[in-house]
Amino acid sequence: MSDNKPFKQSGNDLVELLDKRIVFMDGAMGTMIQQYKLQEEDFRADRFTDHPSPLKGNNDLLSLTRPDVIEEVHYKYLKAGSDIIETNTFSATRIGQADYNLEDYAYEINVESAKIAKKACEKMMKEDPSRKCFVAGALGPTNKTASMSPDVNNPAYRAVTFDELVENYYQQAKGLLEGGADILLPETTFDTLNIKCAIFAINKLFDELDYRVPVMLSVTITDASGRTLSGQTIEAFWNSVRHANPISVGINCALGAKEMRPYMDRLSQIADCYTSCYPNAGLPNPLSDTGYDELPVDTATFLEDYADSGFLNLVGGCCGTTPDHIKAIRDQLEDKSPRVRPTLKEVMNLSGLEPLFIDREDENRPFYMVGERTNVTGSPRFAKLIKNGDFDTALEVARQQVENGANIIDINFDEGLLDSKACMIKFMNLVASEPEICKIPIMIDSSKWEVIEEGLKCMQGKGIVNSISLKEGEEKFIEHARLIKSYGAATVVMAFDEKGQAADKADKVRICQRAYKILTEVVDFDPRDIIFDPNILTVATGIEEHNNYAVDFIEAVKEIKATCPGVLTSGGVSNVSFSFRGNNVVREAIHSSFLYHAIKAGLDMGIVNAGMLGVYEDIEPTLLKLVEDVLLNRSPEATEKLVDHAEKIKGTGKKKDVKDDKWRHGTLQERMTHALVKGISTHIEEDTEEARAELGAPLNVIEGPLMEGMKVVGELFGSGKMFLPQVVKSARVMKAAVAYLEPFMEEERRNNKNARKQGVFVIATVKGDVHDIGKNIVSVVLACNGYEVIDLGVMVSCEDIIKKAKEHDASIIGMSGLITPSLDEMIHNVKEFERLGFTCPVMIGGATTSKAHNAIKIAPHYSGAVAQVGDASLVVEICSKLLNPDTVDQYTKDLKEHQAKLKERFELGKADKTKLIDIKQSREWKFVCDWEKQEIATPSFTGIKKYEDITLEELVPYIDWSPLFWTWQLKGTYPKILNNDKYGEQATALFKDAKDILNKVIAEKKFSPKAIVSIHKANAIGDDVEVYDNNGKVLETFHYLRQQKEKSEHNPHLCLSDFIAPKESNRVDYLGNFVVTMGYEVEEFAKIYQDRGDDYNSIMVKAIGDRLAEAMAEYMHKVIRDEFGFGKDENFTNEDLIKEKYRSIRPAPGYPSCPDHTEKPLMWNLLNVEEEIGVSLTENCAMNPPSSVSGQYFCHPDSKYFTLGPIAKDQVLEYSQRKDMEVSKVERWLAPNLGYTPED
Amino acid sequence: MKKVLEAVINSKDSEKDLWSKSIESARNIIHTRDMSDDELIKIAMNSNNAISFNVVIKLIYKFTRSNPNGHKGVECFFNSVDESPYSLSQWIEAVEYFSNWLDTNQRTTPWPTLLGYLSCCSESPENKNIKHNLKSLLKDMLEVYGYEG
Repeated sequence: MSDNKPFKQSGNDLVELLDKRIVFMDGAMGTMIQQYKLQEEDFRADRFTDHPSPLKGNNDLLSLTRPDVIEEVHYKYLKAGSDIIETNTFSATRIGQADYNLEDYAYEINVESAKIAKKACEKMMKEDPSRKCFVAGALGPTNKTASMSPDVNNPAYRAVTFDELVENYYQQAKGLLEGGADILLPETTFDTLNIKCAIFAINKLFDELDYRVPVMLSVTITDASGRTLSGQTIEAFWNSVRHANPISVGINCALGAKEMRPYMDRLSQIADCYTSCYPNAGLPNPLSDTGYDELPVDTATFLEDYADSGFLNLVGGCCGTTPDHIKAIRDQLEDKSPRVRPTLKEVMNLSGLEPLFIDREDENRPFYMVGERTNVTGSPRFAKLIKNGDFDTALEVARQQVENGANIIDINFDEGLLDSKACMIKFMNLVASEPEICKIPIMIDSSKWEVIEEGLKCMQGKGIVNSISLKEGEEKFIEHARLIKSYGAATVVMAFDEKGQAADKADKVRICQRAYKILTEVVDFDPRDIIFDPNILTVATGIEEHNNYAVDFIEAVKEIKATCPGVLTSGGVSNVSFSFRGNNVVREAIHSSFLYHAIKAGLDMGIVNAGMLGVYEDIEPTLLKLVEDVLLNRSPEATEKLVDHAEKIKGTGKKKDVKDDKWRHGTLQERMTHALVKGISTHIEEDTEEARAELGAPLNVIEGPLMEGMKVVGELFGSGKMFLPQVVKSARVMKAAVAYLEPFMEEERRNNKNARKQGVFVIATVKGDVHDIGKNIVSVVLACNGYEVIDLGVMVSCEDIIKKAKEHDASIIGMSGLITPSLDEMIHNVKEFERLGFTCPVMIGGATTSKAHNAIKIAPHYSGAVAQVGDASLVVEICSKLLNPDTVDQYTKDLKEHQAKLKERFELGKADKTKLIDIKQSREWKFVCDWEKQEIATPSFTGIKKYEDITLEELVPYIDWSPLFWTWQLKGTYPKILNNDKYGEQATALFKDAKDILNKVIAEKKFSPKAIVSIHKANAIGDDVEVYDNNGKVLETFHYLRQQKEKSEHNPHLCLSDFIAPKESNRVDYLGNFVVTMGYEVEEFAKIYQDRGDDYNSIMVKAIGDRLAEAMAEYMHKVIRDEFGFGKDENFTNEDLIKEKYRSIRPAPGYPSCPDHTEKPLMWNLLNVEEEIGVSLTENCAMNPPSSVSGQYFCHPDSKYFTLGPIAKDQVLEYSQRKDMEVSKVERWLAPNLGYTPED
Repeated sequence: MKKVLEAVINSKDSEKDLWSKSIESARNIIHTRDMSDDELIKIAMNSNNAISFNVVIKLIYKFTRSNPNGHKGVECFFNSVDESPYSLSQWIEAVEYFSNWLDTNQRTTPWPTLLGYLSCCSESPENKNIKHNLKSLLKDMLEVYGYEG
């Protein structure tokens, strides 16, 4: 191996110099070349006069065409004090030169660049014989990443392979050495796998030569994450590359010295070789004389601190630095002591994106688990997923292993029906795009060497090969070990030799010792990278010879660890219990007990099902004794006894839930508080009666122990320790208590007209809007806090709100709305309140409202306070401030001041006009499609179809659960939210309750899913789309709007009609329409719970209704894609559907691409929606019942969702004519999109 | 310097020297492969002043130094602008504000993440029915929600 080959004299000189002092590198080449202001002809010279591609900017080429410039720059750096100069070869690979179509000149560029640098060094050394100058051959990272996909939609794709990069780097390194380079320097690495390719190539080259040169490695840390672009930490990076035995490792580029400090600090502590640093001169700054932030003195000062802190052995500069910088650095650091290389503990160093250190000498070290479930031979589920091509779900298996605590995961595709190599490459590439999985090291498992090798070529981290052995003889063993070393991996060595598998202790130890000797003495393998697996074999088989297998393994581990210094040991734990397959209770006990003893003997890691390991101390004592009798071979009858016992306990092992009733022994207050906080209503009536008997008046009970309990709820909610679903459950208990007291309070009111009342909150969803989940949540929260809530329901007219507010003497009026037209209703309503002399505060909420809109459009019309509340958790505090005589004036004043500021800011913002293109020009820049050639999918039917037979069960796989959590104000996406640190527990409980309701809905067929769908022939006429019957008669014309905001040249100004073939193309295209609903049954079912006082389940029913309606829209979209044909080849998971990975879109009027709700009646008319499936539109085009979804299907392959953005008056005028609608009405409906101020 | 770039400098009413240095520096430090002349001109023409221009160039430069496909940095920027209701000049103003906020808080962030946050600001519910100035929207979002990028 090349490790033992000698350095040339220059290499030895460098080592000598590094031992004495800090060694100085050069600065930027690019920055210096810029100063020459070279033109295209300089880059071409005579040689490339006729070259077809522009060459300016190809600085590496100057080594061939303007070598004088390059030599001069080198000389300047040497004069300034550089000991090492880098060749002008940053992009001098075939890959790099492909940008200029100069691939065939890459080799020559390297040779000549090295020669030029060498010439400059020799010139300097002749001038000053005391100087020793070195040429470092620079190998840049190329412009391709080996471990990341450039295509976000295809994470398994790679633009370059390991082998391609090795070939490029090999050629480059060879050229550099031929030109006389003294050092090889792969640098500016952003992807560790790229630099591993360089290392592999360099070692391959050294194998062919009779010498080697020092190798320096340098990585680029890109930003504040402190990681490489490919996601590794600096420690993980070092673990991945240390097998190169570099003379130095360091950091360069991207950051200035100031930002680089923490990473250099860390690297200097963990690297046992020399360390280098050559930062940028800060960031570009044209105001500075040098064009960069840092003057030479600044850079030198930062680096002086590095030297004083002991970070440096080699130092220089990167982008923006000049000979002046190098001189300043040299002057300030020349007399500083070089870093002392640390003596590090000898541990096994592995890495994924993060490092893993395993110290066999640490007595407190944990047992390391290798997750076994991503193994087709061991996991039938994983095998099935892979055979079905379902790699996405297969990744979930890996993720679960990591979440369950696996420190390493074992990946194996050895199965006859699989292309193991292809599977390994694809899966490894997919794993690399999943940070949660690839943060840990990977174990590549195969019995075929070629599969192992492909896995190693995909791995930027330092992983483990599983496995090699002496089975095929020493030569093969050595060959594989050498390759593993070149790839920088550790390896498992099995206790197999030419005679077969070792079964007893003596054979296990003998084979492992033999393998150790070969690896360490012949291959020079680091013993810390060796893991012996002395074969865990199955016990309790009934065959007497097998009885001692566990003992043999345990004792072999002990002896191997004692006689083979540095190594670790491992084993496949499940093997030991194969005799009890199907009996998980016994298997888990065997595994726990086996590991207990094996770990004591020195076992370091094991291949296990992470998450299925029990605790030794928890094993039932009888079972434990029987198991240990077998494992430790304590009696010849041990197997028989365990088998007997196993039969008896098979299938047991589930723990019973123990009911916890201790809280019932607390005081009355404690019991009531507990019931409210936990949402337990079982004993509330009993406790309420006890309180009434004690306290007399029922209001005393409400204002006493019940409110005390709700205060605790409020405090927990306010401090983020309790979440909305729990609050609503608490409300359920409170309501039950108040309902019990109601008859007593009624009687008291009859007897005492002056009985006190709480604040009255009148709340409604405004006219034309049907959404009320948010309103209901606010109602519950307020009711919990003692307010009397008068909920008027949905679609409430202004007159009704006013009537009820007067009737109940409202303390506050609340208005809710989801759709944009509801804002106009709110404006109208507050104007009426003002006109009629109302003074009570008004609160508005709902998805369509915002503080800014309220401040600018609603609040100015009302003298009293109008507060917008976006979060139910804030409503109580705001109500309290508005109703408390001590705080209301100040709060109202502050509110109005804030609103005035918002208004002022809005006015300023209006002056800043976004440039809008006129509509004619926008149409010229439309989405372009060659309609003559464009494939148009043909559906299996045209016309209208109704679907009434879809079962609720069919819709469940299409449910997107994330919005359910958002409804309850738990922030996160499903399923991650279930494991969220803050919300996880509550989210899990909520999800269970949601599933319970869903199951009930399905079992009892509570909802009636219906859909109506049309597919009609269609053509675009300008920005409109006509739909036709089969005779060509126009059935309806839909109107769309076009983007007018000025864009970059390559981005079209979109309109949905662009995705339908224009009439003049003479092509037949299609447009679909749909409406789906869960029916009024949702509201009816919710009312049942509401009437019982169970707001929690009432809200949950509606939320489930909404989820199922959305699921049905997704389901029907799939049906339609199948009808068009292109859906039939899909194989999407639910996650893929949520991410809309399929062809075609289904926007609805009101969506950002088509914000005009007034298109909905046209759809209703075409499909006869109300009559067919019972969904109507309110006057503001909201769908009723609320659990309904509508939209249109556009099936063009390039159709996509977009935002219309601001539009100009010319389009509005034209649009109003097309729709035959008054301009003022159009402006009202499109208010948020107007790029101008309409006349009042 | 190319004539097209000189024309940009001449079109500016003030700070011509600073503009000259800034545009020349930008052209020198970012390869045409990563940012074409047209793209550079567009950014220059839509920057209120040379300082905000330099802020954007600095951020794009940083991205190109650590990415094999540096042009993605410019592409990502223009796509984000095009997909929002805001003009390039409003985006540049907002980017400058964001960059200053990061400097004040001694933080850095990757360029795509910064653009993603601005895109989220422009899509925020606060912006749905009343169009805020993008910089003001960003200011509010940073104050209320902070930034974890």
